[in-house]
Amino acid sequence: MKNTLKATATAALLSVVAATSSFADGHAWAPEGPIKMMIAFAAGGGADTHARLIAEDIEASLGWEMIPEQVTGKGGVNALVALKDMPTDGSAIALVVTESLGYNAAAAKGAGIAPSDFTGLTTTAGFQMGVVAKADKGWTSFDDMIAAAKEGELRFGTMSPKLSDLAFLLGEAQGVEFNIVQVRGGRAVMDGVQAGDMDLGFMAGIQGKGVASGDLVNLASALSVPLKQTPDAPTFADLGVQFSADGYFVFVAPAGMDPAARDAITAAIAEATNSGKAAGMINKAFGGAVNIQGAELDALLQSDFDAAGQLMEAVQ
Amino acid sequence: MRNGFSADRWLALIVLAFALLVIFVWAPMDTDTGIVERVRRKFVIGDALGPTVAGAVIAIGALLLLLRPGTDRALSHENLLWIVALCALFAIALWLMRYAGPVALAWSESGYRPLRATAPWHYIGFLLGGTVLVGGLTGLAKRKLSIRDFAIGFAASLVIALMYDLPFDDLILPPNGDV
Amino acid sequence: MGVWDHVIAGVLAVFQSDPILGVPITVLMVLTGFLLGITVGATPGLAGPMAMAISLPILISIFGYSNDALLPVLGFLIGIMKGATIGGAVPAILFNTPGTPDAYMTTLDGYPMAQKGEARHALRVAHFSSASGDTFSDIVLVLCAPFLAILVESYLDLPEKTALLILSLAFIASVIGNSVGKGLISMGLGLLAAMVATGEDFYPRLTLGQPALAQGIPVAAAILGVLILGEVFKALEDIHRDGQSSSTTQVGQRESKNGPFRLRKLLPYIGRSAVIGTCIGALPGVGSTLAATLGYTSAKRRYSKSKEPNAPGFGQGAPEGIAATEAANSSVSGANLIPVLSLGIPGNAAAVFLILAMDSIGGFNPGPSVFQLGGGISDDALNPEMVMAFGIFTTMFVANGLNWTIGGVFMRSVGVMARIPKERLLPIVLLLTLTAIYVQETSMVAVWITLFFGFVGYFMRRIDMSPLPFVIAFILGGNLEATARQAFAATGADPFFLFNNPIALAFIILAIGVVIFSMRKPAE
Repeated sequence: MKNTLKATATAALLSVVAATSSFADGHAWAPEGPIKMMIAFAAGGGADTHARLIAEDIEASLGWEMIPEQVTGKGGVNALVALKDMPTDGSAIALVVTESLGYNAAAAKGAGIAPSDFTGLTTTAGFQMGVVAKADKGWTSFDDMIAAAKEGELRFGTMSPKLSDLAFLLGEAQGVEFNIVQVRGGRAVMDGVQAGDMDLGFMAGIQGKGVASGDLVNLASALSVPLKQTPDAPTFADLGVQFSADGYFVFVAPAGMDPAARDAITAAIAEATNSGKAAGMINKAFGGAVNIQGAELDALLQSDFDAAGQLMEAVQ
Repeated sequence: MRNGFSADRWLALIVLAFALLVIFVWAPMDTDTGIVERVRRKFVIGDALGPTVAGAVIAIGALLLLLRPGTDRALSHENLLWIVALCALFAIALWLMRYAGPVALAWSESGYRPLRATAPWHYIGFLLGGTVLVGGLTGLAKRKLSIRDFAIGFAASLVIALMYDLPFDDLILPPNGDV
Repeated sequence: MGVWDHVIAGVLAVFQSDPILGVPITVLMVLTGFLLGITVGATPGLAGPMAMAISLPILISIFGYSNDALLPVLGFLIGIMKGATIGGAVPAILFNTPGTPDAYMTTLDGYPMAQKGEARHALRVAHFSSASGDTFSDIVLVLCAPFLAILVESYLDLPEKTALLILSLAFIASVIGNSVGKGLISMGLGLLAAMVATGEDFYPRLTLGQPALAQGIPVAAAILGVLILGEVFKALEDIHRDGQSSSTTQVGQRESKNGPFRLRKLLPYIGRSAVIGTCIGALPGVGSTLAATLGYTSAKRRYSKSKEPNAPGFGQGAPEGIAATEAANSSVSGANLIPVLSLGIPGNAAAVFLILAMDSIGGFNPGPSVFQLGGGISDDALNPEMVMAFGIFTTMFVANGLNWTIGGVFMRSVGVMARIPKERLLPIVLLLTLTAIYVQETSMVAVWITLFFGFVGYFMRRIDMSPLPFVIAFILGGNLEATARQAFAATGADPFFLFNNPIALAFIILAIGVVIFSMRKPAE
């Protein structure tokens, strides 16, 4: 996995170089008017900030006019529904998460969206999704927490239906039952855990500072790989859960997009995530840029969408 | 006082009927999950609970009003006529705002869309609609349309347009986000 | 990191913000907002909340959504809020027309004083009382809000928080307006509007199949529609019915000699009213108009006992009447932030727009978590939200200082605003509001939704139903539902979570009690 990431990052950088040099030739694609950038996350959060920084970086380096706009709600489904019928000339893109096109698109049957309705551009960063508790609970390992859960039911904070399913499966695999409290947004899980309204919860990178200072503990990695910050914490696979919370922020456009536009915008975003203000912020908040794009991204989105059904069945 | 019934009692009855409609028809039919749902082998609150509670609050309010009618202010025919007049004015003004630009540029090769961020074309709809809105509204209030009011309307629309458009390039004036 | 580190960081955040022309931007914004507020307050037909609503989208375009945006934007809005209150006294004194509803009582003694040629004196009294009430209220805010927040956070679990929200809503519906029934209807409609398309399920509930509603009702559209457009429609119809808007009455004598400014006589009235206004302000839902009325009537009772035989009585130009009114309505503005910052509950229209600003910019979620030491991040880092809260306090004191220093001078120069005819001004306000909505939502549908809620607000005003419970319920509806869901899930699906712990049960009983108690108040 790490190697793929590295390879894609290099590929991204190469394509950036290629793209920038073709700009110099003057044959490059450029948008006819402003580009509307829909952001599926509430203003002010990390997701929103990094999207707006990317927009600023692109405006500064390429002179394209970007218009960021909040289209929030339903885990990115609202933004995708709005994007679906927009023009395919590159004048409309959206920032969602891979989960929006995967689990959420599959669960929102009435919305009528699937990965085939969209053109994937590039991911920007991945989640360092951990199972986190406050240090003063006294748990130093995942097993301590499970032992406590056997004494009395614990409250497990999550921020999406998919994560709630995962929390449920984790309890089932470990022979305990959690009271799953689903809230809106990672910040709300963090606040809930800090205030004592929840005993533990999923956090997707926001826990970084707290873990570093010893206030919070990463009990487990909800990813298929160990967490960068706490490599010793067990992964979900180690704990008997066959699904993971692997996910990325991803820019998408409507299906049938002009390939020249796709390449140019993808390259512009990828460059912004690896240089300038956006890169600094991504490094700090999400542990570095991850640019999965092209056919690999298409395959990732489709497989997430297909896997969603199995997960939903598993919790029935 | 009609049929020995005060205006507040009529209001209470109408509102009560609406609340019952919300609780028994709208909320159940226009939500996908019930009052509570069984998810992951546990009960959680479903999407129908919130609307049902809202309907119940309205119904309680209506019942209390029925018990203790208050100041008894009813809508008059004049009020309804005023609303009709406002609606007509808004329909005209907003239609102009939305379509004046595209209609004006219908003859041109490119049409309006590529010019939606280009002065002076992108002001057409806003200025025309804004002028009619402000001038017409002042005229409605004074019961007399005057050129002067429309001139003030035009000036106000122009100032507002420039105030938003000149300093901020990522703000979009009506109707340019829709075209 | 202790409380003091946060206080210092908050103060520095205001005074070390990027300077423009050598003045820190946040201070500059407070100043601009304050001057605008006085001007708007002095204009009959415009009120502070209107100016706050219209400025917000412009401010957000200037400052963006970053954390640095919060203090300048909130500083500006707080400036307007405070300025409008003292501005409202100007036309009340000079022209017998209250600039804002809460200045109505000021006309009773202010205008007679102006007729006697003591306009300057009356304005001085109004300014001094207003500034004193304001300062007192801010001090109470700073002392109470953090304490209350910490209390809530350490003693209240999810079920109790749900019950507290229910209690606040019940209280607001009961105390606003003359009829509990209408208050509850208004509130229920607000809750219902908050439910549109906001469910947890992926199906967009209550949208009647309209894709335009799938993202829910835009918050600004509903609030600005009900509060501003509703008022504009009503005011314009009044002019339509009564002919030209009443021309302002000129003060008989233009000479303005300085009357004796007897501080010692005024102070007891100012003190009493400041306490009344602060207590009223701290309760959600009870606004500055009631505070002014209570301050005035209580002062009147006291005055009739102690007045000198040859001094003018209340209603005949007594400076004490102005002092009592202005101290009371000005001391609401600080205290009404107590429920906002400690509980996330807006108590009046001005607070609604402050919460809307915090919501739109992000990064600051008003509520008990704001005052957690350690900030949710770690023990040795500052809690950014708490720093921000102290930054907000600082902007309030900056506005206060401006009020003491230049407020009085400026207020004497805005009398001219009362001569702008409403029928010219209000249509422009309408166009500005619709444009402000459009630049935020970029869709004509949002403009139509705003107009729809404008008609809702108009009807409410015509049938004597206060629109404020609607607006507050609309803002808190999502929060209430989310907290209830969490409480239910966290207690392992206990259907009686509101009743089986003592604090929650007490809140619920109080909520029912407050409704029943208000039923007994005589219907007019």
